[in-house]
Amino acid sequence: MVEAYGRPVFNLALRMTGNPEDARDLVQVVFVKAYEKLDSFDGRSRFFSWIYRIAINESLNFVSRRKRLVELDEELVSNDRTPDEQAVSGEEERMVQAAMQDLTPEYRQVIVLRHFLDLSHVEMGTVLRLPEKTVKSRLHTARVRLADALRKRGYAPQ
Amino acid sequence: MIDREYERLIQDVLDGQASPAEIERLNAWLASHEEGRTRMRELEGLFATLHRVPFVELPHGLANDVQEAIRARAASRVKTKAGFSFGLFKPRIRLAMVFAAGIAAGVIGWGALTGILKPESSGRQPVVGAMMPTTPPRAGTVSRSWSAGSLKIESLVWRAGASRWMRLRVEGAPADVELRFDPVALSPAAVRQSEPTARVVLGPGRILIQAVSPGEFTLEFGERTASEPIQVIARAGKNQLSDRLPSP
Repeated sequence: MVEAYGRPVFNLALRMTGNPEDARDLVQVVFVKAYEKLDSFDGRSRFFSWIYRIAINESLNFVSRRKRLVELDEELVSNDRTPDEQAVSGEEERMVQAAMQDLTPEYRQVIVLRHFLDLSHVEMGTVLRLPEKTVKSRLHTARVRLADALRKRGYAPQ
Repeated sequence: MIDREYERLIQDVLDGQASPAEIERLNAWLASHEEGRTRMRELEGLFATLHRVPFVELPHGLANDVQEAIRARAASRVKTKAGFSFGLFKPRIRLAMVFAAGIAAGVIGWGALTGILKPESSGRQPVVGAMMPTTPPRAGTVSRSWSAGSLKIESLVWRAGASRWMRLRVEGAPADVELRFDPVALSPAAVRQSEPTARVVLGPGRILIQAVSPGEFTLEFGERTASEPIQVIARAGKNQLSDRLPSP
């Protein structure tokens, strides 16, 4: 399970949180949860959509907890970049990562699923438990907002 | 301002979701709309940028960490299933038990307030943690002592039921004491510490005790494999020691 899905789940967590250390922790949480809930996987959906759903939900929980923490005390969460983070990112990737954090988690997750995990609209609908039409509409808005966020940061995508 | 329909169409084309007829319609519209062409270029750039973001490799050691976390969880679940659970009882019985507990708490509280029941102070150091046996058995215990400079550690380990117990007395604090063990064989279940200021971090295959002052720590492990030793690594300033504490 970890060998097959570890890498996509890590990438999903990394793009949702914007921080490699948080993504590391999230991957552990996701797989332990998946192990505990294995009995609830009924085989009607494909396994990847089941585990991605757990990953998305855990990422949303994490992001929401972090938001509350930042609201309570800005100093508790450092904005300093870790050496790991600096090492894995090129300038363009950093810019995208930063702009992604400007999106709400709901818009961020559709960008992640479509552009980083290459899921189709139908597959995204299964993971997010949303109608395909809603997924498509959310994805359109997310892209426009991401382009705006990049522009505001002085970056013109080419 | 671009018409919403064409905004959507631009994205559908770039996303590979448009039919040949839709592509043709968009091209015809773009031919006469400069604003549309600018938007198209911008979104093309966005798609290309997102495509260039690398798919990151799983960090080294993470797969192992995940597997250890799962093993530790599996071990703790086995222990939990064997333990007492209110969930085993029917709702009415659960309600009755809660009611009875409330009555008992009320009687004890009333007794304490009126002086009929006198709580006795042990006069010992403050204790944090679950109820645990404080006295190890006379036989079947393994004890070890180590020292390095001012750092001194006395340990005692014994078995009771399905648990392995360990008592550590740390002197020469502040000190960090790390216990390493096979998470499949041993699963940390409870800790009692004499000094509430000490920080104890439980993890799969690892317990870290950060003692600010001298103190005693009693630990319970759920035991699945009896013979596994526990490695003790301690540091206090420049003083460091490391040894294995064998199974009782």
